[in-house]
Amino acid sequence: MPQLIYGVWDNVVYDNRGSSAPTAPRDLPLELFDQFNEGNPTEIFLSNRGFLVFSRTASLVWALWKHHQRLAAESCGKCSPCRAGSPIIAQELEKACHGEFVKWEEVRDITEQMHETSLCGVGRTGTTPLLNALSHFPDELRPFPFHAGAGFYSVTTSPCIEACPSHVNVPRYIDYLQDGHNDLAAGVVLNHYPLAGSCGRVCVRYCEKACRRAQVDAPVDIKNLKRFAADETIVPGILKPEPCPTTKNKRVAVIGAGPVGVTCAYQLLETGYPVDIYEAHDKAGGMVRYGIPFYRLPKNVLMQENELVKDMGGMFFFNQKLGRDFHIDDLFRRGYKAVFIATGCPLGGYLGMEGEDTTLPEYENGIEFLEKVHDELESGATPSLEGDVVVVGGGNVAMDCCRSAVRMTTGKVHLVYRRTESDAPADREEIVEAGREGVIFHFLTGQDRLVVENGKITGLRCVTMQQTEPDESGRRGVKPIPGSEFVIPCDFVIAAIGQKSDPAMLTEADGIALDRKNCIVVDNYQATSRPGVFAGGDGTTGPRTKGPSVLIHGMAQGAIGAQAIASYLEYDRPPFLARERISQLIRQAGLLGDDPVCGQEIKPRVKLHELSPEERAHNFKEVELGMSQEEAWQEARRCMRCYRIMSVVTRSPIPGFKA
Amino acid sequence: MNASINGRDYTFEPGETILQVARRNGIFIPTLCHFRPLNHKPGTCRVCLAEVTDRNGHTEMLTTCNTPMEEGMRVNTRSSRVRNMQRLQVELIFADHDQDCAACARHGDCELQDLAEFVGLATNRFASRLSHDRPFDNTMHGMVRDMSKCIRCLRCVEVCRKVQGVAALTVDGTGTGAHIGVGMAPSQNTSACIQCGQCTLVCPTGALAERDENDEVLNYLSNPELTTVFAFAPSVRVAIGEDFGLPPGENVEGKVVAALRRLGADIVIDTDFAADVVIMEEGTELLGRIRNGGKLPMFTSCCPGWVNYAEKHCPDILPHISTTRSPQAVSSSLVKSYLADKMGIPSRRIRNISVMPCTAKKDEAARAQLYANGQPDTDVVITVRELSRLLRRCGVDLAALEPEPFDNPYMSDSTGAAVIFGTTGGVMEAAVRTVYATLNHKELPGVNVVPVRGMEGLREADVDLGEEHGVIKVAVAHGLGNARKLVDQALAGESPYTFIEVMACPGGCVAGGGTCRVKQNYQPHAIERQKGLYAIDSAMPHRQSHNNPQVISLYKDYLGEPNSHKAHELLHTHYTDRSKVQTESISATKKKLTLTDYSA
Repeated sequence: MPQLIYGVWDNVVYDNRGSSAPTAPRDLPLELFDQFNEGNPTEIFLSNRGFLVFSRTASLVWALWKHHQRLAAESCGKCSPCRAGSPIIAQELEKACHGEFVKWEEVRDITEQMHETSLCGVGRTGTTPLLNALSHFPDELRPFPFHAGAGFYSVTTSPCIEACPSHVNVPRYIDYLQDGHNDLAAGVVLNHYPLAGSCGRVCVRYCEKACRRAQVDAPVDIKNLKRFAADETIVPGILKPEPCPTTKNKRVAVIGAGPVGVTCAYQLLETGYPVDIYEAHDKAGGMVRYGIPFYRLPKNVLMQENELVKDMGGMFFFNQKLGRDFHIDDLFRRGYKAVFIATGCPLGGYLGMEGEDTTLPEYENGIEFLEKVHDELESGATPSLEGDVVVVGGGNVAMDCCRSAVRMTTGKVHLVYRRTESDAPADREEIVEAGREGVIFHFLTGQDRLVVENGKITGLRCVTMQQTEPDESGRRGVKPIPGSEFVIPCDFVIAAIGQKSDPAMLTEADGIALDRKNCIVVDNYQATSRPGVFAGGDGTTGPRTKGPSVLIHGMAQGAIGAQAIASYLEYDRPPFLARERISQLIRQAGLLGDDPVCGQEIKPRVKLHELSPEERAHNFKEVELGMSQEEAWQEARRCMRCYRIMSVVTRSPIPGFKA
Repeated sequence: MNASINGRDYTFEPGETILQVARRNGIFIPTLCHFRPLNHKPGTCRVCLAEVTDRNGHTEMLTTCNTPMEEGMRVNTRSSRVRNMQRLQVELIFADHDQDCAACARHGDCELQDLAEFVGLATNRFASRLSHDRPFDNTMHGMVRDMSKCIRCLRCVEVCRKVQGVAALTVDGTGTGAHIGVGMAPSQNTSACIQCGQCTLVCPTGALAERDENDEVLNYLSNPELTTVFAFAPSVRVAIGEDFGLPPGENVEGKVVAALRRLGADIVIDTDFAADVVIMEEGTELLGRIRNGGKLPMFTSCCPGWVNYAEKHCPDILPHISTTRSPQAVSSSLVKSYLADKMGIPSRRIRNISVMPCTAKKDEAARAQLYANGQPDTDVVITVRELSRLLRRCGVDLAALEPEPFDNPYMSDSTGAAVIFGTTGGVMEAAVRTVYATLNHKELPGVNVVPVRGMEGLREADVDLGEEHGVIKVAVAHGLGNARKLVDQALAGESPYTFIEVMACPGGCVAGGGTCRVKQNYQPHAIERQKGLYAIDSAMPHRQSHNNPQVISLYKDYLGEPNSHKAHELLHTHYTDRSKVQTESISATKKKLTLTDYSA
């Protein structure tokens, strides 16, 4: 447990330099600061909330200098106080470190100026530690012998960046859009994963849920800005991939060409590794390709983004299924030095109703149904159904199934879900759009059994459910109301209640530990129990509770897997992921407070155009139309750049970072 | 709703900013980046500070330009704390600003200098302490982009996007390196910029300015071997007076003639003459296209900003653009052929000096298509602002001069049709007057074509050409954002129009990128200048191009008839597709990112 020597946190001063009864901020778990990386204690921590000094020998002025160097590097240069103030302060603090004369009054004036009048979070909140030090510990700003062995790490983040599993620098790409650099905006996203336009269409948008603009009017339309950047640059070929120079000789095999595998391959190729990708289907894309309907994601966008990896030098081997065409041992035998498994959860489940016959052609699971629809569309056919359809489930796959079915049949499409509408894990928008397209909802309705006559489905018998009293966690369950059974007449029933990994892929001989649900067990670095084998995506975690899988989570795992593989091949040890470490700290210590937004003008979110329900009928055309350039500028202007800079000084250097 | 400023209560409407309420009540708050005419308030300069206490007693220093006034707010705009912070802000602006004011294009006419006075700058502690080493781009013929002077108000970006729809300008770099860039292009000349110069009208400092070519002019004037021929555009006569304290829009044609002679001009001619020739050529071309099934609608070609736009942004429209050269190009070409012939001066000794309201005209003069025998037809173009500066350099007070008439017997007659070339709608009106007369062997009744006049961005009119052709639809667009709509319509094959006039600058040449600037304002005098031109038109003895006596002589003695072989050679041109899609590798793009940390 680190001892707080002195510091200021949320404007409260803590001075234990001579105190026998040390005080510390309540609700701030100091033990989290103990070791930044293994064996390397945190000596000073600086953030928008203040600063904390844990060591009597650490130099506060040195820490502040490094912090302000970072701040000067982060200044966008638009607003006067931060543009000029941040480098001047960095210069003065450098002088202070070297014992030169410093006009502290001037430093104070400029620091206050930046703190109070800067345009965004960089200048406004980056200056908090210095301001606190000037106010309360001016005597600690004396020159200090340079501590050559110290480590320094700094991160510029924001609520949206922290909310994003891939930590995409959202304000930066929004700024690039506003600045007129669609190419650079796309470049920011491409730093993390190649599927920028695809993610820009289907992302679950944790970032928007964290967006502080919601306090003023509505969150920034981050997803569509990302889509705009990609559509303007990657799709028309303004940004072109080129072969990555192969600088490493150890080959890596990626199994599964879905978003997770493709992202892992993309990052490894960038690092210089030769990568081959094995895919069970005949094309890349995985669940994003056949699981997400065309009306949400036109497949040319996805395929073009997958192609980036091919153009960078990744080799795809299609129709190669793990467990059928090859095993893990085969890959090592072929000379690969590391393997990344990203095979997902390709199998759909059935409802498990009493006496159900899964061989009935009119009774399908959601994944099979969506894949069939996808294949027909891809071949140029127009998929159609005759009759009424009942879809069972409340997640995004269920919505995809019923919204697809509604486009295919002239009959009715019903959705049956045992809980309430607000309990349904599907995206709100999906439920709303399904309703607008004519799907008939039956919430608090449980499936009971298939009604089959002469070998054909004629209906689904259902039962009305009621909510139980809230349990200890406050969650309300459901139970059937006896005698409320009724039949929804229909010709097709689609079970959309979950997905699972394919047990045929990995056997005991592969030597990879699986959990009870048949998922691959991985550590924080995506490493499996078998050395050299890493894994990520749905196959490791199981399908997420929210929807079939969360694309952005999977892609983050793909990127971390790539780093872990590189570290394994280079040093035979797990990597130290400073960025993940600081995110963990931010999350666990709740460092990003929800400070209120004030004084902002109302700038309503740009309303996007979409096809009307009538225009969507009987086709799979993309429903949401992208932004125009003018709309993108207008929307980008709504971003408040809630940047927060956090810096860590450690006793010894942090692996991978120069102090 | 009520709030107080400096202890006095004021009412306000919901949504009004503190600055709006203050200004409405005569309370001055210094501003820099804020640009009212475009409702532009990027909040970058952070100078318009005030101490604001809300209803809960919470006090904050806020920028008034973009903070909405709220019920019960108490605003203090002049406490010592506010004044000190405003002053420090200006000091910080100077920290990375090139302060070589004496050599600046905006010397004595600078909004930043004004601001220093407004905040009572007494010391300048950080002056030039930080680097102002930012791009200097003189690759363009029309303008110079000197980013050492940029204060990041982003007004130029706004006008380029919102008014012109060109969007050539971008924000590049970070920190003190932040500046206005030109996207993925290596230089402004090869970028999407069309050199219309509207950005130079809104720039508060000398960061964006016309290329000053007065020394070229003085070199020609001081060379006894050369014959200098000055020509000035229609709008110049209603624009330049302002710079010498005369009322906006006043016709100073005679004073300009006198001033050019004071400078030592050998021959002063009127670009109006060439404008009349343009109408003869363009009108004939239009009738040809109508009769022979040529590309319609036909677009005008006299505006070089528009021609650049078409070549760079929508090359598919080029076959629709009249091949007739602009008045400047027609004038220069005829000076070195017709006038040289008539006056017995070897054309190689002639230097055409053109005074224009336009930065893009400088670029036009450099077009390869407008060279003859390896020499440009137009040797140098100066803008209205440069002429003012030149006159001051030479100690000529335009206002004090007695007007003098043109006296060249070949190329100085003007008509009312020519003079209205200087305003949006003018070329169209001039063309209609002549085309009507050509077809009907009588003048257009009433002369004026009122429906094409005005300042709306897009105007259209039905013009009755008489029995042979009946009614045709014509349209007028100014500001390229407006023009683009007509272009897209034409390219989609849905244009109802036969003839379309486009001027790149909103208002036309009277509001050109080379006209006089007014600080903190955007083309405030365009309407007076426009009125000035219509007043000249209505008082002219000849109001149709085909009635210009010197134009009649030109065709009789030299060219034959409009669109003749010789006319084609001297007075027509062609266009090239200069659109280019800049592409880049993903890895090169990533290297340009200014992210100090992005990996996990």
